[in-house]
Amino acid sequence: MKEKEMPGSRFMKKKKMHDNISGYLFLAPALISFFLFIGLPVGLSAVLSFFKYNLINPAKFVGLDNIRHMFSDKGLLVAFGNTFKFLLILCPIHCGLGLILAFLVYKATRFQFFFRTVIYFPSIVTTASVAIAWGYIFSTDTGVINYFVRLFGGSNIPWLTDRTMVYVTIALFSFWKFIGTTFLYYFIGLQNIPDVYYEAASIDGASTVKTFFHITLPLLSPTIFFVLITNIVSVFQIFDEPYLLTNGGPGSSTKTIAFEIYQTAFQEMNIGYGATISFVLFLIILAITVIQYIGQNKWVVYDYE
Amino acid sequence: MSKWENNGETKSSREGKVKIRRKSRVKIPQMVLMIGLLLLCMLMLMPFAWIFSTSLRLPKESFRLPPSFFPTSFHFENYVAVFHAFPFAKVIFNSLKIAVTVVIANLFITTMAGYAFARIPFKGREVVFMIILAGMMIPSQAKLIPTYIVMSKMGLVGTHMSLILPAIISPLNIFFVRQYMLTIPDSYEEAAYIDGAGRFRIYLRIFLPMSKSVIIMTSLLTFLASWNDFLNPLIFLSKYDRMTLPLGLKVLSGAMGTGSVSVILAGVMLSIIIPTILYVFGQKYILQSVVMSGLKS
Amino acid sequence: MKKKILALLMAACMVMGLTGCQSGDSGNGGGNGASESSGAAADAETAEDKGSVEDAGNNKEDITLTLAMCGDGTTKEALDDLLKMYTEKTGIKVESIFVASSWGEYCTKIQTMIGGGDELDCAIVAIEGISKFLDMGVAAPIDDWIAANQEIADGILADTSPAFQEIFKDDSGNIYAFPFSFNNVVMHFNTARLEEANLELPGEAWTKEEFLSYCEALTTEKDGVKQYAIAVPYGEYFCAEAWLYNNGASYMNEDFTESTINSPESVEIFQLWQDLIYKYGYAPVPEENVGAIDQIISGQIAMGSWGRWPTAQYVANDFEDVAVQYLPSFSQNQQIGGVDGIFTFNSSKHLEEAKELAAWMSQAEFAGAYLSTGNIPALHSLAEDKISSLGIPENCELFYVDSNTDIYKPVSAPPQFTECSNIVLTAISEICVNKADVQATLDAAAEEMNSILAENK
Repeated sequence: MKEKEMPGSRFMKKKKMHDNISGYLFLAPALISFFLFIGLPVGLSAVLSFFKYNLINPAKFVGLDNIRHMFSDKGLLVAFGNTFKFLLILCPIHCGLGLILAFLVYKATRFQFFFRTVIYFPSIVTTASVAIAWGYIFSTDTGVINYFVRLFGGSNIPWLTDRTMVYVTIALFSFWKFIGTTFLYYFIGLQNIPDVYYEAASIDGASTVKTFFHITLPLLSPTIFFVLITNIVSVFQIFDEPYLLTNGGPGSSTKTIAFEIYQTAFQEMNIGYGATISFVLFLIILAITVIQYIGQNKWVVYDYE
Repeated sequence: MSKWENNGETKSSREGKVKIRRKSRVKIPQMVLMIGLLLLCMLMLMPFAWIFSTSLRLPKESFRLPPSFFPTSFHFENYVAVFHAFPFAKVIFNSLKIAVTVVIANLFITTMAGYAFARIPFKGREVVFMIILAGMMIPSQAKLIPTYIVMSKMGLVGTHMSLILPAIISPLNIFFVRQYMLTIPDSYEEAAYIDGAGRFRIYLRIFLPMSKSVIIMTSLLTFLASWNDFLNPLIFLSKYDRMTLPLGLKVLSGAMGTGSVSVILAGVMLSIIIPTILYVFGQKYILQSVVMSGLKS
Repeated sequence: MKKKILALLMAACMVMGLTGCQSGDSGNGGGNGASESSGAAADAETAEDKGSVEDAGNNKEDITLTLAMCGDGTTKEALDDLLKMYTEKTGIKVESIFVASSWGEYCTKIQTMIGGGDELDCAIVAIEGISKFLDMGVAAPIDDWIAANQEIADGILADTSPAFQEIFKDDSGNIYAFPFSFNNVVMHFNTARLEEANLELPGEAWTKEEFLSYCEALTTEKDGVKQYAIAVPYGEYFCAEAWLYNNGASYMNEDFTESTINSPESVEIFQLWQDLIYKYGYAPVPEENVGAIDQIISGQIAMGSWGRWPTAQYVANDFEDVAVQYLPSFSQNQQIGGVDGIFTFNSSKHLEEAKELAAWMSQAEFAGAYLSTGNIPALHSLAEDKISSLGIPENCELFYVDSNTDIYKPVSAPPQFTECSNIVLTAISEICVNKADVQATLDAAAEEMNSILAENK
């Protein structure tokens, strides 16, 4: 944990005392807004998780009732299960395919600008509006894709109307809509690998695959680690895809924790219980992140800088 | 290609040691790669082709099968209808105003914080940084109602401020900027110190301009998040003429889903114009922006 | 040098703090009715109709009421024109908040506005939210207004359905609003499809058997694309219960204390929906994001069960080949009803004026001009006039013919409407899409619903 220090110890001493003051002064706007718009709401919801509150009638203290209710809430259990399923499906897609895609585009000698633009393009569009289009394109009986499936002699594929298939469709949607972000992170990461490493490899006559595994991957590991962490955090909070594409359905096959929080805290205005669920979710995400942070020393290489 | 060469140059002038020497690399069969990527790009553009061609059809024919991905009829009425359904220009202006304000405020808060985390060895830096990063882990659905309570105590509910203020703080952006600033060579700072410049001047004159690319990237992400936000405007805004774009699109689709799909899709097409322009122009900088040295400090 | 930087930073922080305080102050100012005018001045940019009534002397001029409405964007303009008219007449300004969203999101919006201390004087509330709002005690009774304006009130009450009036009363008989508009649920037919199949519109009391034979005849193929007979009421709490009512079933008992969704009669209907899709192939597998109304217009389905709201879309699409008939009588013909009304809220600072506005909106002058194609005016005479003059769909008198009688049975709308509706819609989805076992799914749904309804006992 060596900190970046200014060289020259005389100089250091002179400004050391000012560092604390100036550090916090620079941070002041961020800290104030963090406190007001993240800290305060979170603190508030921590308090509210011990209450029954609907925003209108006075909050009623219910002690640990909300927490107790969690353990008997079957719907929540299903939501946790579904969220883990999404984690298992979407993380490899974004972390793995995103990397492969970025590597391929990086290797492309022509049209690179075009590829980059197209791959990122879906990320800039409002999820809500393109989800409408996807609903129609992937409709089982009247959709565009199944029309072609039938044209080539196949039978209707239940894209959004089968509890297993719906995960495939959401995975496709998620890839299409959000791969741009991880792609971008990886692409930037690839660009930052100094060429000397590749030059050395090409002198040794290493193949592309070998270069990828022995040079690119290790040197990219900080980026991979970053993408992995942000991905896990965002998949745990997955909301847009089920909300817009399936409304949690069919049945409750794609209801996720964030979707439950939305229904509980927002639609049903059971703010206390919603806060309880989100706190548990927060703790889980925090725990997983800390575990990964500790585990990173095993595989993340920072030394090349 | 010329754009790319430019990129290479700016970058190598910054990093000095990095040079783009792709020709020397081991090649994978470029033809296969090209065809594969072109095919993928075609597939990725397909939904947009469908959206566009449907937006030009008569509402009655929106779902006609066989489908077509190319416009077969040209009914621009749908686009006119978008402007009639609600004050589209005003709504675009509102969205733009909010997004631009958020981006500018976010920029200063983020870069100042990023600079402090990257360059000032103050006491408690690690802890504060971790706390801010933990802010990413709270689902936004959970924050909505508590934020509403905070906003209503501040008396800001219903104003654009209620959308702007919560968006000016972004832990992820602070992280990005910090990572980037960590890579700026110490020599720049030292030289400025010797010239007698203070922290703020170094930040303003050296670090801010040198972080141009990461600033553009975080700004674009911030802009898009604000531009596309639906739930927050729904809860915080009440007055019709303060409405933002996603709310406007909701008007098009009607309260009971009674809107015509062709018109909705025309609205969608219109709503992606501005982000598209920003992305195409910002892309050059974005690609040089972040060095993900991980969470190590 | 360092001092200079510190000063700069301090200044920056202070500016930030100040702007924060300033906006806070102005907001609070707007909040305590005394400085109403300053709040209004701050909103000058938004007040288009400013200066329309400028003759001084009348203190009512200072009053601005806030009214929330839910609807699609097309009625916003008509609403504002009418409210302007009201201002000219009474001197009271009305600011409308127009929420173009689902009822659920609209209710949440209203609730956050009241809970957050936002100014809200009147709002349209549909049956889905009525018992919830009464339960929370935020609505103001209008009995005093009725007493003072007995004649007008009697006129409204005589011309609307007593079954609907009941919904606006609490346990002790206080009235909170007048019925404003309502919807029943009828079967819509694409008549072009009927003609292709050589079918006439069925009779009023058509049975399940007739219904199934219609389905059989209407399931065809055109240009290699399957044309379906009917869409099941997917994602439609209200329309789905209409089917149950015609088989003597419902989601819950009438005092909302126990779920009856797993009764044999109810199971029969849910089973029918599942069979329509999977056993007979008469109905497409229902989906989110695919609007059945669009499908009936394009002819992909021939029948669908809705209220009057698709008419707006029919008109917009110049679609005229449409007729309506009651839902098939599985065991009876029990029409469902869903109604809304303009409520006033206790938190209003101008309660008298707010009640006056709500009452004005419930009368023919406003309702006649505002309500267009999407719903049925609750006033029978008005409905008759408006609906018959529009002319489509064929047989459209079904929408209003009984609307001054009490034949309607209101849709089940307990205070926990959102929770119950989520349970019901999930069950419909499980059954119609996941092909889940009907009895088991409904038993589970009933159990879940019972645990929520328990607090009504």
